[in-house]
Amino acid sequence: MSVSITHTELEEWLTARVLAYGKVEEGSFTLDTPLTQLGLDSVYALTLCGDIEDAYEIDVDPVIVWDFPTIRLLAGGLADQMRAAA
Amino acid sequence: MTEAGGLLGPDLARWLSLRARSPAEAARRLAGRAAVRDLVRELDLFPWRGFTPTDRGRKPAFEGASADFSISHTADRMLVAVAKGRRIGVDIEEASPVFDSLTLQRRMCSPAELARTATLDPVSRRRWLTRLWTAKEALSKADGHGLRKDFRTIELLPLAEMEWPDLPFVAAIATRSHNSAGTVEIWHPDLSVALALSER
Repeated sequence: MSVSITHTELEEWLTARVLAYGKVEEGSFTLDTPLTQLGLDSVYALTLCGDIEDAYEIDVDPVIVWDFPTIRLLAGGLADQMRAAA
Repeated sequence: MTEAGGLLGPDLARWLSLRARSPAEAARRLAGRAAVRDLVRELDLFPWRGFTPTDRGRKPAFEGASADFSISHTADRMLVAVAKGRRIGVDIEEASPVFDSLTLQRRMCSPAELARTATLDPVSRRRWLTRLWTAKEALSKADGHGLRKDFRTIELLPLAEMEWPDLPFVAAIATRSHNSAGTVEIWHPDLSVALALSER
């Protein structure tokens, strides 16, 4: 269930998605690297939102990646959204 | 005065603190704005007075001119355009493997568009989806909504049905290494560009 996902698990999941998109090498970034430096332009922002919706069954507005512009911040934003939706 | 200072004047520091998230991104933004400035000056579109900041999260506006600009980047190309009296949006994309993603297709396509993807071979599908994306991105930028617009709801007219108005815009595609206005880009089937106009 989505509400049982921890902040750390969300960070790991987001990191795996970023690596799957193939724009950056593993170990070349941190949880605090700006998403734009990880190759997340608008195309990938929408792709990531779709992936989040598929994985966690929540509706996500694509601008969430501008509002929470790092993996750490995005994980926090998603965790808050999941708690609110629970 | 530096190139950056010339573009933004005393608001440079404020603008950078609001918008730039990395030195590379700041450099890219400034290169785009320099290309816009060159376009305005070289084609004498209106007297150049620089940019003026707008709301947080929005691009700056032209100082003292009823005009709009739009910038789009790929890995090594940049598309800039300026329109007088209208809002403008541009997008440039390479047909990359991300457009093979079913997740992305579901988020960007209307039901009719999704149905069409099923009829295309993989190479044609990727190129068609890239063109579809650039058109929708350009439209969403021109109307000021950006990614807040649900791309699934953007309906595009078939090109054959479109009537082209008198085009009140100028545009240039530039490579990163030669980013002055008027650079000619050789068409490539895996590169898609789109330009959209909107009433102010």
